[in-house]
Amino acid sequence: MAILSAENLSFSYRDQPVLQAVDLQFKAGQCVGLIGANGAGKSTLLELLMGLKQPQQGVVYLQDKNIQHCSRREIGKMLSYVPQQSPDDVGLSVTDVVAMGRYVHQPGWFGVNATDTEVIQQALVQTDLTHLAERSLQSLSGGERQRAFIARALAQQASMIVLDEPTASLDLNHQLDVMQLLSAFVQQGGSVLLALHDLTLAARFCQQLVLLDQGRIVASGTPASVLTAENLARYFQVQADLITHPDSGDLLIHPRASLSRN
Amino acid sequence: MRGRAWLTFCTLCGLLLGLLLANLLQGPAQISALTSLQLIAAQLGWLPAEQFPGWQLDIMQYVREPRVLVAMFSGACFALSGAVMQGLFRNPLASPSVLGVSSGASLGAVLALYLGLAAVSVWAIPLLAGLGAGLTLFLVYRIALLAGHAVLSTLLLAGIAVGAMNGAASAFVLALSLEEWEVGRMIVYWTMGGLDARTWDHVLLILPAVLISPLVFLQARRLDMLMLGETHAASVGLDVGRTRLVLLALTAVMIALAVSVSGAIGFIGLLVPHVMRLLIGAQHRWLLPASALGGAAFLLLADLISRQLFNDGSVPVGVVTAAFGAPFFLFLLVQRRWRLG
Repeated sequence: MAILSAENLSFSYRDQPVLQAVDLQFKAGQCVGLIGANGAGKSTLLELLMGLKQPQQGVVYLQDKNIQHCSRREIGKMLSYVPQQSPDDVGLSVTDVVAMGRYVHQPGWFGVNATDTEVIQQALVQTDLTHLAERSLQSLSGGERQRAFIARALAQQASMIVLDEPTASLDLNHQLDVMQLLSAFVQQGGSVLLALHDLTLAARFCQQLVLLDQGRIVASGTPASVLTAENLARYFQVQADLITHPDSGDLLIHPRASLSRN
Repeated sequence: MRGRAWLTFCTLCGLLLGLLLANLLQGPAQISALTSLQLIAAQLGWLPAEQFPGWQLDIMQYVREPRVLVAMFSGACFALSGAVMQGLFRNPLASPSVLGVSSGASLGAVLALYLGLAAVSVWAIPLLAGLGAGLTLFLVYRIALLAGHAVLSTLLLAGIAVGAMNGAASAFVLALSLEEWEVGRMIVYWTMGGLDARTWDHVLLILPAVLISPLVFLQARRLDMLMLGETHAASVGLDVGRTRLVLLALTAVMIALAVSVSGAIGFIGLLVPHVMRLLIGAQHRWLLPASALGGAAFLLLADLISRQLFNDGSVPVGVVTAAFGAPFFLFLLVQRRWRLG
């Protein structure tokens, strides 16, 4: 059974359609990448799938239950979310933020118990944040802050982590760190769904890609089947060379020229 | 961090006790500090009460003690509500006066004074103040909900607009009342915020606000989550709408009761939480109780100063809190350059 699925999902802002008749199914144990040009509807789709927005049409199912009928805690136990934008002016410490991931398991009024502390420590170790545990969020770099929110998602122990552009604004080194962290989570049986701009990263780390264009799914499947020169020209307006890395066999995308008129 | 928090708490408690005592020892009546101390001891049963003249005991029991308790409790309520609102709205400018709750309570109280109800029953002011605060909050929340779910910026703007309406209505009532000098004077004096002639009835009035404050402390963890914004809070499993409503209702009750016993004393709700955040950090588990203690101490201090400077009681304490609070706040603002918005 799919962990998360969408049936005939449509959403519009005022009269502007953002998503139209989207059907999707996410199976466990995969890293799925959501790709598409700016404004294709990636973020909106993720928020709908998280139950944070209400679709005008269609249903999102969490396992077999309509997500609109699930409490936030029920959703939080299954899905954890790392939004694209996080406040950078909050005086809470890294540990405080990671500890929030335990709320779905321990909604009590006061802090955390022994199990929680252990899970939090483990998440900090996995994200290499132990030495920054007591630092305030304000004092961290963008990459460190992103790792703190991923640590929170790990501490939540949900079966699926949903991330919106987790590598945007990170340098190369930290982009790799984040992706490797997510790969490790998938190897341990977790599922990941993430919106990505970097197609080479997407090709390398995702088993499945979903290509969105103007609110519709126009292609989905393995990276090699979605990232074709034709799709790149049609949906990203670039003339691109697709190169296979001689050693790793990874697909490399080399955008040669922009095809857009403006 | 934890050590520092405890140190701050101990200091605050010590400060509060000291100010409590200092306020009890002070008043226009000719009772020496030593006698005052002995009177307190006598009331606690440590000294035989018969050795003191009755009027001295009465002043202690019916004038100074209620005044000190009202100051302490309403100071705590204002500061605690401010701390909650700043977290709730993720906005450093939020305070009880935002959302119009304070001005709604004031309007109710002004009406009670104007209609002469306040002279009939001591409960008239709190009842109408509570009604004013409640109606304002309801109206503001309904307007913000028109967008489907309560959008924070709409909530803030609606609060400011309704607050302005409340202010205008209060001023209108005041203008009407100027024909009767005595009523007008009472209203003007009351809107400045004062602690004169407080009785044990007033202490009883504010007591429910003190009793519900633990419920506010218990929301600390949720307030931490709300500080990261709605999306973050919802994705870690928080029912954002419900939590917000609970917190708004609790703060509205606290503000209404505090305003009804001491007038709309300005600036405590804005200043104290900011100072506490500098001292012990942003975690609400520490920030909320520290703000309550700090607010209590601050209002006692302001009362002490106002009575030292103007011992005929001509200047209400609200003037002092703003006169000393605002420059201090500006100083912090220049130093720290807070993000606005």
